[in-house]
Amino acid sequence: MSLVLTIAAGVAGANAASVILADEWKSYLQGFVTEDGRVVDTANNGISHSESQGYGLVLSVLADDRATFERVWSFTKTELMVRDDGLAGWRWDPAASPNLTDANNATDGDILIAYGLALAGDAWSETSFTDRAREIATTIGSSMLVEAHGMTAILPGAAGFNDRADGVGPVLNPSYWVFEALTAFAKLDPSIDWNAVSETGIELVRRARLSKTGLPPDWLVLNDDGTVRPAPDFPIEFGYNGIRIPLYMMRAGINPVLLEPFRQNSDAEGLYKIDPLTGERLEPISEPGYRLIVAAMDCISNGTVVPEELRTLSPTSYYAATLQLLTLDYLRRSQPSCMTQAAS
Amino acid sequence: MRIIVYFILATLGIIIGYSAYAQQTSQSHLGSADVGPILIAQAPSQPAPGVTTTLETAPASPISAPVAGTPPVATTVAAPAAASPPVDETALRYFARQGDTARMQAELERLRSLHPGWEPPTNLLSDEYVPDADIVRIWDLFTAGDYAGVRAALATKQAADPNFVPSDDLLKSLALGESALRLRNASDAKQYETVISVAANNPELLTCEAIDNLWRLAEAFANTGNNQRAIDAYAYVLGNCDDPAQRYATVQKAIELLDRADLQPLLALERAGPDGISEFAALRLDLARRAVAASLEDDGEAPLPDDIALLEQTARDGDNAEDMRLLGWSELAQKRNDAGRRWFEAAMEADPSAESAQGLGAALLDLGDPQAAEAAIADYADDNDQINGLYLDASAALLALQPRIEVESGVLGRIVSAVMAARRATAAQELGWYAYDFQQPETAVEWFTLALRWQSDLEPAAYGLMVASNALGDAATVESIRTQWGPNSARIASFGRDSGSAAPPVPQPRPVHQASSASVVRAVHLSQPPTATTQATTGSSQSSSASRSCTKFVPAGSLSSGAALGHGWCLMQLNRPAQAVDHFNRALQSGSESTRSDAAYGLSLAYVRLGLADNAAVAAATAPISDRQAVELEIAIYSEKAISAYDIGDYRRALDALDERARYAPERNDLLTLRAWSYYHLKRYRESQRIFEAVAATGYGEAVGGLQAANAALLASQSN
Repeated sequence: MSLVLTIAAGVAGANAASVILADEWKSYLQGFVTEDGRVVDTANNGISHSESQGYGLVLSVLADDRATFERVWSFTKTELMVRDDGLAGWRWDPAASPNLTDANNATDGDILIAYGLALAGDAWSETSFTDRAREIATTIGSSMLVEAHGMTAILPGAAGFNDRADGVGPVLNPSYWVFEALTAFAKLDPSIDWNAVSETGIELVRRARLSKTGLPPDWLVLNDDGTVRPAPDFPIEFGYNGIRIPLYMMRAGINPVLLEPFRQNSDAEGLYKIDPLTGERLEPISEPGYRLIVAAMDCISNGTVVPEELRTLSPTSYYAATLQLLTLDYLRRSQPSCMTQAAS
Repeated sequence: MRIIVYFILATLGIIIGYSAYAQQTSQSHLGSADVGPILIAQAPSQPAPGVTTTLETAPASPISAPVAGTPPVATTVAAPAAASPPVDETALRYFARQGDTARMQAELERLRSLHPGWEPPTNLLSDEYVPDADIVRIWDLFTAGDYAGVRAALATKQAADPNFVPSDDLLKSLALGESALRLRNASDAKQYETVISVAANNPELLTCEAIDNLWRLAEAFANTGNNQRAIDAYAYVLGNCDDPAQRYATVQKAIELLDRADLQPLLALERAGPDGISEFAALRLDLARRAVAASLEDDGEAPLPDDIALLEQTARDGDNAEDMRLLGWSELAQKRNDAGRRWFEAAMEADPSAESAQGLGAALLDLGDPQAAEAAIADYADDNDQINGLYLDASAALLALQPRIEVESGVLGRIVSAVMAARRATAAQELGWYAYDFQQPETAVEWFTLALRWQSDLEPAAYGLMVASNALGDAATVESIRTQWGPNSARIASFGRDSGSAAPPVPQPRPVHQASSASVVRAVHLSQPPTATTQATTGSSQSSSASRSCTKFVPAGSLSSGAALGHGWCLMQLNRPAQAVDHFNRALQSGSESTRSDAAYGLSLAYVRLGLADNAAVAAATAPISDRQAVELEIAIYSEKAISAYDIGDYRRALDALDERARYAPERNDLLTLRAWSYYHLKRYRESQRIFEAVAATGYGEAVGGLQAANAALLASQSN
């Protein structure tokens, strides 16, 4: 098994200037971050979750906005990080009482929160943030990793993914591999083989290429022969989860060849929710933030520059805007040629 | 009185340290040298990382320091803070200037608890003190509980002014505020280890002023199997906090979470109220009620004499039927049946109801007086399944009394109605023996047959049918029963063959008693078959002209088809549908279409009354019957089908049958209730609730219980 990792472009270093524009960040805050530090999933009844809070922390550092970071972190630690194991409850509903309506964790949320803290510790030389990041990473490493077909995989949550009565599983979600975060964790807690975890994520994407579409299902299990199939009792689809995978791979500088299935199943209109087994397009995923992911893949694959209208943030919804900022941060920082005017 | 409590958690055993400044003198000898003084100033300014670290790195030797019934307690004296940090009075002065006395008072208390020994400045309105506007705003956010806003404002201020250093007081207050929030959220999410670790790292949160934190900590202890720590927490509140409502609520919470024995040290901390009544009197009574009620459960321990005495006094003083019944059941449970009877009689006096009657009936049954028991329950026998079951038990016991007593016809009539309605095989079997003993073997055969229809494996009914058939000279039935039951019943196998060893018929036949037999027959005449069929039967012209002389057993085959038809209707009037089936079958062989039509109708009705709806439907098709009769039959058959399906738990089929029936007649309240219960069992709670509601609104009592059940189920399903 050869892991193809090109040299990852450095993310926000201690003194790296932010490439997120002030206006963009302002509109993101106005649209999706409340005064009390809650990052709101506007397309999902205004709830928040550990994932949205984690993205909020990461983006606050990328935007070099410590005040917002402090706000979001205060909310996150007081409202979500109450679990006995130290991880975050995943679902917070403003309309419910108590607000934390599901105390199970979502490991991608925990990974993003820890990653945000790690970035903050570096960016603002604040060891207390680094220490908290390390604690969370260590907890994930000791309780949220699971063996799947001989590989070390990320368990999507403490309950419900590795305890099926029929013995199938563990259920995995390849979009939970935030590769750049795993690289950061390797520095925080070297006692855990985070590199092996990263390799598993890439291997899942590689094995999914054997299917008709080449796309990994959002929720999958491994067959006895190690091949990938959609997880039972989950929707059979590549969709809003999976579209983050190429973004995470680009940000971590992983071999662009692995982007091809994602690129080939998209077009100028954007990405699609797709049945990974038949290739049937179930619905378009076409907000500007999502289209930018396609444009970024195109640029990396064949040098096509990013269309003008996608080069700045269009804050249509929390999720699309979040992915767009992460993509813009990557392109401006690591692929500036993609963002220059096309020679006409 | 200023009190701060410290809960310091150490290895597994968790030491609770109290710093009770007001009690310095009395407690100064307790263990302070071992722990060292715990000073406010040493409280961590940030929440410590997590409980794991605490457990690993802070082993402290448990110190036993019994204070007011609270075991492992370390009490320390707060030494005067020698080198107090400067107290940030900005907020205090700000609120004073605003004239906001409530917030000023709160801030005053907060500062006092943070800085023991500190005294507020004399002139809070002094103009010489110019507060920093940013700091004032930050305190404003803090007071509003907007900790995220405070964090953001601090970051903004630090970015603008790199030399700005927030005061320790502010940072500590902020961390404490966030910790309190986290404690509450963890508690709401049932993450009890987090609750305990947050409390351990932030002992300043545990004060009478923030009593909710203490309650939540106690709950976390109780729910993690650490009852002693929970008791300590509650005992701390009762030992130190003065608010009467909070003290009362504290014991209420303890009652929910702790065993009775664990509550004793807490109740010992009771104070007398201003009115001279002990503050927990009502709770003690509640506890006594619970204890007595718990003693009635399976394997329940006998109630304490104190509890009984308290309850007895309240029951008498307050004329409280609920307590009287509880005491009655308690007496019955301890086999003091007469004492139980007296309580239930008093309860009946105070509250004539099914609940009181049920207790009285049970007591009388236990006293061996089923006659009085039947009489006590009769008016309430239909109120619920439980009392209905008791009524049937009492009736069976009454009928089985040896020597036989002659049951008054009115009583016998209501017993028969209840047995028919409940289709209770054991009681039907007792009616059979009762009839047999009063020389009514035909009636006995009828009841034994019914009993076997309702419960096919009821050996005493089969035996009774054999004995009664034998008395009627029906050898075929005797032998058929012997063939079927002989392998499983010695007395049936050997019946009539070996008089020496055969068990005597049970119960022993009694000598002829002319007056009694008449009363039995009269009573059986009074018995009400299911409503639908009564109407159908009386609606039949045949029934009125039918022969009255069918009380003597006549084999159907020996009659002409016309005579068999009349005999069948006569048997129906005597409620002997099984025999009527034979006669209607005979009548079906008639050459006359009208006789066959009537016979088919009668046969159907007989099957309906026997609970065999499918046979009834088949019978109805054996000959053309009039439209009106057909409709009556459909209604009766579908009613029967619905009830049978419901009885075996096939609620979907019950609903189907009701829907079919609804094509012919509007649904009666009892069937509407059956429909609602069917929906209920199918978890279609909303439909169930709607129907129960409508039926209950008509004053139909049996729907009320269903309505409550449906409401509860709806609530439960919504909260999931």
